[in-house]
Amino acid sequence: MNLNADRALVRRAQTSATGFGELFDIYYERIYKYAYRRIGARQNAEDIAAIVFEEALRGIQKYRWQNKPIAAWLYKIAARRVADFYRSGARGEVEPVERGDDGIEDKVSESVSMRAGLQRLSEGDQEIIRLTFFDELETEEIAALLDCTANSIYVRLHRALKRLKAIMEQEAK
Amino acid sequence: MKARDAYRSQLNNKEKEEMKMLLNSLTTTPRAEKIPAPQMQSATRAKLLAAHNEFQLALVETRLGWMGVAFNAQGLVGLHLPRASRADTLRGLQEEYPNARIAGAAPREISRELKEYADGKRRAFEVPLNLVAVKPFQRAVLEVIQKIPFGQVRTYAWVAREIGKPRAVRAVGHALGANPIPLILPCHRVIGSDGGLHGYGGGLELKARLLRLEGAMI
Repeated sequence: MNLNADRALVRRAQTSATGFGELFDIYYERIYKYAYRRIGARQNAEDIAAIVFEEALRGIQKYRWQNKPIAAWLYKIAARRVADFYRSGARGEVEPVERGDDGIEDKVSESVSMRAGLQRLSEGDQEIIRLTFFDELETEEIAALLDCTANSIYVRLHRALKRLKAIMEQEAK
Repeated sequence: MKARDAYRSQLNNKEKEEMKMLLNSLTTTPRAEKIPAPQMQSATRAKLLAAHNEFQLALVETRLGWMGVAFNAQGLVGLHLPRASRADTLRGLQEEYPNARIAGAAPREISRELKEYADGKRRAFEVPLNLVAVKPFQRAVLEVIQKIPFGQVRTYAWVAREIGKPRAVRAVGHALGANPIPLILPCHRVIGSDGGLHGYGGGLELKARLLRLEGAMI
């Protein structure tokens, strides 16, 4: 990630519609997928993505550059909107994202037990694992999103993974 | 770097071995996810881009030289101090506001007020200013200097006292140096305690010229 490029992108997005279009094109799908993984319905996830970018459009000209990846700003808005969605009770049961059939039985069962284990972790542990492995964010993006340092991200991630591993091992017995 | 890869690279060999299966599973599972392709992306995009409150750029020819202005529906966003060359002013504007559309002309009241000021016929500005992107400290500084009357000067130390931060003289200097709308927000009326002009974005010569135009005793 290149913060200078991000900064220039923000500037373009502030001054012109085409610049905002660039920002939209780079991040729409990432934000949509983030929402989909947490909500599990295309329509709702797209509604949230649209709301995130509406808010971004309203806020971009007030956005003050703070040497942090712009992705973190968008994910922060998305996190709030996903939380609103849950609070509103609008969701039915969250359908888990359908896992693809990779054709290898062992791997499938391993991934099933990993997902089951994940569900038993605390919200915070689940989220840092999701952000890292599912949303595939960069360290600096997660750090800015969660307002902490890159180093503490590794520490939190390591602890969460150890707990996940312990749960999975216990289940396997 | 992706946090996933950065994390993996931080593990020692023993940890790598212990975590191997879990990390593999965590890496392959998301790849097999089936997330339907979004369908509303282009409709959303079109709607948002149409609503963008774009900045526009324009040049104003005045007795002091070519000034550049950036504005949107909420008002004036930025002003570039006069230069002799139209092309230089335009280049400076475009560097600061990349992609912004070049308007045929500045809004009439903006160009009128700037021309009148340069002619020595205007002492105060009335055009609406759009300061949304200004940080709170800088905003406080800019609000204070707006109170310095035409034809008078104050010191950096005075501004620092006025905002209630008498020791922040240097920070006041920086805030004024980054004034997005010089001339209209009259940072040229702020000078050093020793009576020296100190700095100005448009050069000290211009600062002196503006103060002479305003009849300030310097």
